[in-house]
Amino acid sequence: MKKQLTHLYSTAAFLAALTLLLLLSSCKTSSTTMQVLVPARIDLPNEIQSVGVINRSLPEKGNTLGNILEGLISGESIMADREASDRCIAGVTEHLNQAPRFSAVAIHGANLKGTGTKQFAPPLPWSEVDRFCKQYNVDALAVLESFDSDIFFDRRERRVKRKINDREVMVTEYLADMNIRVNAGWRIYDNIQKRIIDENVYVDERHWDSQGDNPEEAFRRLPPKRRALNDAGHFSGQQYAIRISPNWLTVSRSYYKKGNDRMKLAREYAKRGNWDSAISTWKIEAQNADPEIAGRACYNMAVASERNGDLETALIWANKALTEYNNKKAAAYIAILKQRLADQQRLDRQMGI
Amino acid sequence: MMIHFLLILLAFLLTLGISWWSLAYFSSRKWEGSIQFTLEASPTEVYALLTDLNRLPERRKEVEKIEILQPTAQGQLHWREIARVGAYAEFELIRYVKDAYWEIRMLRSSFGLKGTWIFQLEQKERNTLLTITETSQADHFWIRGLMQLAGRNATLKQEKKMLQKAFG
Repeated sequence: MKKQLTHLYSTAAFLAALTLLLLLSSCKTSSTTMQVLVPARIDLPNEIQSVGVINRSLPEKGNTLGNILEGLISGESIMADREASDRCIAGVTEHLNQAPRFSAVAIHGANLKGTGTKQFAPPLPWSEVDRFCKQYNVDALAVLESFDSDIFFDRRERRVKRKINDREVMVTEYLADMNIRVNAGWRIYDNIQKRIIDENVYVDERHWDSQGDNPEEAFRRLPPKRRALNDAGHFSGQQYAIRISPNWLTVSRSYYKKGNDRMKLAREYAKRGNWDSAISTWKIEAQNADPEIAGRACYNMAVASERNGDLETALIWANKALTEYNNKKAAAYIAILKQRLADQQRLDRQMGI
Repeated sequence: MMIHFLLILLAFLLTLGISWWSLAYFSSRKWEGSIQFTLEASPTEVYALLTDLNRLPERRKEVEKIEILQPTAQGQLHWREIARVGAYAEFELIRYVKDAYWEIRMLRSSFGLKGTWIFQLEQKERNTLLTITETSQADHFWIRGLMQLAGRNATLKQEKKMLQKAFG
């Protein structure tokens, strides 16, 4: 019994010490957020500044009957893919215009016909690409060459605890799943260099689920098929825009707020957005005789430099924090900065800097 | 009669094998896709599970153990997943934002697959809207064949299934 109590006390003491340590370490730092640009996964020549987005996934007249029959057999709404493919065009255009790389314009009424299936039609003649580019004043065309959606439903059930009349009881909950898989085939026609840059089919899938007290109720609570298909089309468009354009990512960086009175003062400056005064203070503290304070100030200088967009200087300060003052947090931060520097080289190519 | 039956079976298996071989041979090495779904948990909980490498064998039954390797030249976290059948895959962390973003790259694997997976987490009321994006390349002919059978988005679907299981 005594042995058990001793074990219990020592475990409690260990947990209390651990909690205190965690609280103390989290109290040492504050955080700041910043927007960083992540390179696109597909490199597009930097002379392309504007893109026209066209839907060519709709079938030729001869294929329309076949597509209607396919819709009837598969149970997919007739004309649903037509509407969803237009939402896909909207998804690309909207997202490209939000990102910093391109200006994009959706070209409606072009009346370009494709296969209406997962297959690509032969590439557009360059004379036609050139005509569209001149008419809409763009450097390239992003053409949705094929668009096809598949809808899958699934049902499951699970036992869950529910409170009924103040009593917890186990009941069966019914779950309904809806998956929409969009196969979107894209080509990018670079009208400056007259070459096709990207020619690929991308598979993007969206999933919805709902619960109910019976299977019918669970299915009823799913969004309407037509609306879900349009959302899936829009999502697929957004995903394509993310692939071809650099995107903003909000990141958080922590910095030291304690050490001595000047470190506290610098934190107040930073908190109020007066980063210049904070930097001046940290610069002085980076030479503090206490290696712990100096290391923290070097680390904070790295964060401030990154915030100012000077990644090379940030890396110098972070290296100083680690190598000269053995600041442990700096090691992970150096890896982040090295990755950002590698990203920057790619971004410079993509943005034409 | 028996020989006749065996010959038909052999012809059938041969046709099946040739079809599979052609499918694998002519299929594209590269694949890009994504999946988006909701999990009944906060982004903090989902992120914690995604990034807890030590608990990976718990949520992915094909993974036997994890070996944390020396950081890459960039200083990034670097690890090896070892499967029960002896296969392995080496990963590095590319970039992360706590509770919001986790991007990893498969540098090499014994089965000829490499690629990048991005997990983006977004708070939706009390739940998490998770988008996983895969850009992969299957270099080995037989893995392409297997993926043709299972579907090239099999990895994404498997990840979804496991995360949904983990969060009820």
